[in-house]
Amino acid sequence: MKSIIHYRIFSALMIIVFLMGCTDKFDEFNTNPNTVTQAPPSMFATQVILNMTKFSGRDAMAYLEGQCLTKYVGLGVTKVANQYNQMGRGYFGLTSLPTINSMISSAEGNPQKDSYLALAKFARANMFWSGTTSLGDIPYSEAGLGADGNFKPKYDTQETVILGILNELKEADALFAKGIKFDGDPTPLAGDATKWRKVVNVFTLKVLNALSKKSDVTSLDVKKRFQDIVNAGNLLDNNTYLGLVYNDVQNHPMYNNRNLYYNSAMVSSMVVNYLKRLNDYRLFYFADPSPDKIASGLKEDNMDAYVGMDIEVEFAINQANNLKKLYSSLNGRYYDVKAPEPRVILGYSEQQFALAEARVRGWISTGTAKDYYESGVKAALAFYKATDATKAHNKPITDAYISGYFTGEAAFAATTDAQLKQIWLQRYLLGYMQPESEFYNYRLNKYPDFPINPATNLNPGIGGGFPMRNMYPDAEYSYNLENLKSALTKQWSGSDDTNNIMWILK
Amino acid sequence: MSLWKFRGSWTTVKIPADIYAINNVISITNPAWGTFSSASAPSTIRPTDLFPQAATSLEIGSNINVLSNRMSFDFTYYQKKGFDFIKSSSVSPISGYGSIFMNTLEERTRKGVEMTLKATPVKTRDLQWDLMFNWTKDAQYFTKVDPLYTTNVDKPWVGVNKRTDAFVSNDFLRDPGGNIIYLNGIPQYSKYLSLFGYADPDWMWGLSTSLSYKNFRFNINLDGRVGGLITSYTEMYLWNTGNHILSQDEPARYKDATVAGSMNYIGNGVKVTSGTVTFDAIGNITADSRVYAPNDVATTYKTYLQNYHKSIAWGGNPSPAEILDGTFLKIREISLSYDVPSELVSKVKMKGASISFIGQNFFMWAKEFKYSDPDGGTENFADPSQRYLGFNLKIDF
Repeated sequence: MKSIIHYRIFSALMIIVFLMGCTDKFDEFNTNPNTVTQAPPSMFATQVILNMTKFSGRDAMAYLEGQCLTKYVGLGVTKVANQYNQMGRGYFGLTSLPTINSMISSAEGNPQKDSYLALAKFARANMFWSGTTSLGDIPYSEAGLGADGNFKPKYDTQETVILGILNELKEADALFAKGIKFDGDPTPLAGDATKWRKVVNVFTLKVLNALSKKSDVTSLDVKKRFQDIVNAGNLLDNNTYLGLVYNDVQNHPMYNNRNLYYNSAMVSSMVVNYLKRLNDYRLFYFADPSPDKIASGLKEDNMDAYVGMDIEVEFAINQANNLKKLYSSLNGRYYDVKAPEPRVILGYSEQQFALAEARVRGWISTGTAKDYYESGVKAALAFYKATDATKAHNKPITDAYISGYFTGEAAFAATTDAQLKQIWLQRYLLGYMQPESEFYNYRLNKYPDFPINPATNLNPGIGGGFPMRNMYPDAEYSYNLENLKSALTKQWSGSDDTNNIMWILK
Repeated sequence: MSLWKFRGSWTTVKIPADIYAINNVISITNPAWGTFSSASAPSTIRPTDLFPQAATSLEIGSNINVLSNRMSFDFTYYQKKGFDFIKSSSVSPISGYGSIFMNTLEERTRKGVEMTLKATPVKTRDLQWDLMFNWTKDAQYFTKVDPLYTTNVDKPWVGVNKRTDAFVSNDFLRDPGGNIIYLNGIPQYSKYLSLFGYADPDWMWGLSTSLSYKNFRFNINLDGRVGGLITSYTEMYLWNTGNHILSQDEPARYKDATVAGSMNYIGNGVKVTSGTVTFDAIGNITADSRVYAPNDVATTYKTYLQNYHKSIAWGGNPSPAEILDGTFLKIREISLSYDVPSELVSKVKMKGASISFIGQNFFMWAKEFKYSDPDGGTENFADPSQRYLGFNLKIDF
C-alpha cells in the first residue's frame, strides 16, 4: 500500500514539474536568436530619411515613366502610358509609420530626442502632403491608429488635412530649434538640427505656394504663415539641400542602363525648345546631340544639333523616327557615371523660386522678385557646372556664362503674368531627371505649355486633357470601402475619376 | 448482391503557426546608404495569442457489389471544413499597418462526391473485359466570412455559400451590346474587377479499360476535367511578341511594316463620340450618356496586339482573351502486351516472358488550349508535356 501511494504522489509531482517546465520554455524556443527586436533611434532615423529621399521605384523604367508624365522625356522603343497622360490608381499608405513610432519610442531618455521627434513630424507631414495632393480627401485624424485597432479610418476634408500638415511642420520647426545634432542621417545635412530646421521651413514654403488658389482661406492663413517663415529668416543657403549623394555602391537608377529600352529615352521637344529660347547651356548637360544632325555636319556644341522628340505625337511615328536616329537622347552622363549629380529633394533654387513667386503675388514685401529669381537660376546653373564637364559636349557652364545669363528671354520680365511664367519655367527645369512635383504644379498653373494631343491622349474623358489626380488605391476599395464611398460622395458625388478637380485646385 | 459495405470517418487536424512566426522582428538593412545601416519596424501586427489552424473532415460512403462481383458501385460523399485560418490579413495601409497576422473568422468548406463504377461486362474463358469509370465533383464554399478580414469581402462574388475560387480580372469596357470600346484605336480596360467564372473544374473523370484475350492484354487509361478557368501565359506572350501563328496573315501587319509610320489596323468595336459615364465604387454604372459609333481609328497591329493581349509579367490581371476554359481529356496510358506461352518459353529455359508496347500521354484533346497543356490547373510557360512510346521486354529466369 505504502509503495503505491508513494508512486502516485511521485508521478503527480513529476507531471506538475513537467507542465511548469513546458510553459516557461515555449517563449524561449519560439524567439529567433538571429533577429533583433530593438534598435537605436539613429538606425530607424536612417530608414525614415531614406523613405523620404531615396528613389523607391522598381527600376530605371519606372524612373523614366515618371519623367514621361511631366513631359521631360519620351520613349522611342516602347509606348509608355504615362507619356500619353494615362493615370492609374495612386498609392497612399502609412506603413512607414511603425518605423517612425519606433524611432520616437527608442529615443526616450536620449538627449537627441527633440530632433528625432521633429524628424518624425516632418516625415508625417511629407507623407500626408503626398497623399492629399495625389488623391484629394484622405484620412488624417484617424490615420495611423492600427496599433489601437482602427483599421477603417474615416476620411477628413483636404482643408483639415492641410491644416494638420501645416501645424505639424510648425511643430517640427520649433523642435529642431531646440534640438541637437542627431545620428543616423545619410544625407549631406549630417544630422545638423539647424540645417534640418531650414529644410522644414522650405518645405512649408513649397506647400504654401501650392495653395495659391486657397490663399484667402482664413483657417489656413497661407499668406501670414509664409511671411512668418520668411521674417524668421531660417532659410537655406546655396550649399545646403535635402537630398542624397550617389556613391560607388548606391548608384543613380539610370547608371549602366544603356540598353534597348532605356537608351530610347529622348528629351522632349518642349524642353529642348524652351532651353534654346533661353540660350540655356543646360541643354548640353541634359541631352546628347541628335545623331542625324551630327552626321549632317553640325558640331556637338551647336544648339541646332539638338532635336527634341514631339512626345505627344502618335507613338508609331516617334518609333519610326527614332530608328532614323533623329532625336536627342538623354545625356550619356546619366548612363555612364555612377554618381552623375546628387538627388535633390529640396534645395536652394526651389526655395528662391518660391520666394520669387510669393513676392510677385505680394505675399511678402522683403527683397525683390528679380533677386530671388536670379539667385535661384544662378544656383541651378552652378549645380550643373559642378557635374562632369567632359559630358557637356564642349559647352560647359562657366562663371562668366552664369553672370551673363539674364539677357533676351531669360531677363526678368516686366508684367506679373510673364514673371510668374518665367519663375514656373525655371522651377520646371529644376526637375529634369530629379524628383519633382511638376505634375502638381502644372495642374495648378497650367504652365509650362505641356503639349497634349487629343488624338493620342489616353486620359479618358471626352476632349481629355491632362489628368488632375490619381484614383484612390485598390487597397482602400478592398479594405475601407464605406469611408471611401462617403469621401467620394462628399467630393464628387461618388465618382472617382482622374479628371476630378480637388479642393486645392478650385 | 454479393457485398454491401458502409463506411464513414471523421478526422480533425490542427496546424500551428510556423516557428518564429509571431516574433515582431526589426529588419536591418546593411548598408542602407553609404556607411549607414537602417532599421525598420514591421508593418505587420503579430499577436501572441494565435490558435492553430484547424480542419475537420467527414466522409461517408458505400460500396455495393452485385452480380457475383461482376459489377460494383462505390459512392463517397466528403466534406472538409477549414477554419481558424492563420492569415496575414491585409488592412488599409492608412492605418499604419499593411497586414495583421491572425486567425480569421472565415470558414471554408469543400464538399464533394466521388463515384466509381466497376464492371466486367464480358468474362469467358479466353476473353475478359474490365471497365472502371470514376467521377468526382467538388467545390469549395465560404460557410462563414470574416466581415473585416476576408479578402475582397466587399465584392459581390465573396460571401456565404459563394465559391472561394472566383476567377476575377479586368474586363474590357463594353457598350450595352457587348462590343469593346476603343479610345484612339486602342481597346480600353475597365478599372474595376469583374467575375469571369471559377478556377476549379466543374468535374473530373477517369476511365480505364482492360481487355484480355488469351495471352494478349490491352489497357487504356483516360482521364480529364471539365470546366474551370485557367490563364494561358503561353498564348498571352505568343500574341504579345508577335509570334502567334494566327497573327501571321493579318494584312495590316504587312502594311505597317512596309510603309514606315503608317497605321493600318482598325479594331473591331466601337468608340465613344459623346457623353460620359460614371461608376460607383465597385464598378456598377450609375449614369451613362455615352453615344457610340463603330471604331474607325487605325493604329498599328503591334500596338493593338500588345493592348488586346496585355503582358502581365510585371503585374496586373490577364486580358479576357487569355482566360481559357480548362477542359481537356488525356489518354494517360495505353498498352498492349503479350505473354509468351509457357510452352515456347520453357524451350529457351526461361520461366516466363512478356512483351509490351506502352504509350504514356498518348493523346490529348483540350477545348481551348491549343499550344500548351492545361493539366495541373495553371499554365505559366509550362514546357510542352511529353509523349512517351516504348516497349518492354520482361524475361523471368
